[in-house]
Amino acid sequence: MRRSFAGLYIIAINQRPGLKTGTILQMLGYLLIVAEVAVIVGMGLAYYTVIQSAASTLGSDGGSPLAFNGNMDPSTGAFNGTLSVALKNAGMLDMAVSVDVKMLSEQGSQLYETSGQKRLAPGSLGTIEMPVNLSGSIGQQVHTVILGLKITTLFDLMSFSVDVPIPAGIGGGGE
Amino acid sequence: MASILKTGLWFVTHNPIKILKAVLSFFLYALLLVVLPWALINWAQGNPQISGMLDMVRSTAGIDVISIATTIMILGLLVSVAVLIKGLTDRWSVLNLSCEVASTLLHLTIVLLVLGAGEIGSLGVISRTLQVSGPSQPSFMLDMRFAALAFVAIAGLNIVLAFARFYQARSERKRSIGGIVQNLLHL
Repeated sequence: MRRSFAGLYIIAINQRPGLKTGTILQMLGYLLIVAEVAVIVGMGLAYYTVIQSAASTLGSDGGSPLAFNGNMDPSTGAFNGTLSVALKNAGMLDMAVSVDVKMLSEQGSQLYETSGQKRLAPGSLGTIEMPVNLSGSIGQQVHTVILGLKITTLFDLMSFSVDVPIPAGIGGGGE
Repeated sequence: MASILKTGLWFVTHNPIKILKAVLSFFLYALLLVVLPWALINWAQGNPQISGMLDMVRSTAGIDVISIATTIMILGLLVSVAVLIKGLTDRWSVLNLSCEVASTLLHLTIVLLVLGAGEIGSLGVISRTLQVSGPSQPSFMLDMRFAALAFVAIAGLNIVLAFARFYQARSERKRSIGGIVQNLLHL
């Protein structure tokens, strides 16, 4: 009787009842490795997209990324026109770009703000155009134009934003 | 022998494949996290152009690449040792579990250090105002919180998994020891 009981016990060990749990744990381990690699790859692609696109938008030719198209009323000194920013998605992922332009006085107070946004596919070019309607009295006070550029990518999970102050005489915000 | 089994300090010196795997893992981690940063630091310091660029990054953006690389080297050495000990011990041992948890946490620290450009607590957000000459300074913010939180979650799951493996290995060992004892009693 004792012999048969011990035999049953050994059979039970040999069948390894814990093997199923071990396999599940091993599979979960592999799943976590895959998740980690996926995050690294996604992050790398997002980083590349953001940096390349920001560099090509802000500093491609060394000049100002802002262009002003419009006219000034000589009698009142008022500006009416559009501010445009040329964009390029130089990366590998879809990205959303938002541009925010603030005009500040010499004391740093905000005189005017305009913004625009656009979604760009990889490799595509685009322009964000923002209407500008400045009265003469405000136009005279503009000292600095702050160009705020925000790029979001990887399903809006990663973002890069940069605020570049441009003296009004260069950027076209105040002349 | 009994005390070694009791404390869980059981080195698998009898399994050459496992030893080889552990040593190879150690060298791989040491190569990636110690030798590579060390070589990059030496190369950067020996190259005036790169050295000047790194100095400029440190002075304008406050990101000290050399200091980050040095910290990675130190943490990388600890990770390599933890991986080596983990590889040389059985899954049921407390030492194996401790090394697995330690290597996971150290690995996470390295990742957060890189994502935060030297600031682990920023959780993947790099926000700096550039110190340049002129009336107003440009500023930038790189938000990689998603990646940082994903790595934290993965590390947490890895630790939970390590505990599950540990308890599963312990229960299997108990069963097998029970079987051996039963066999010995039977003989």
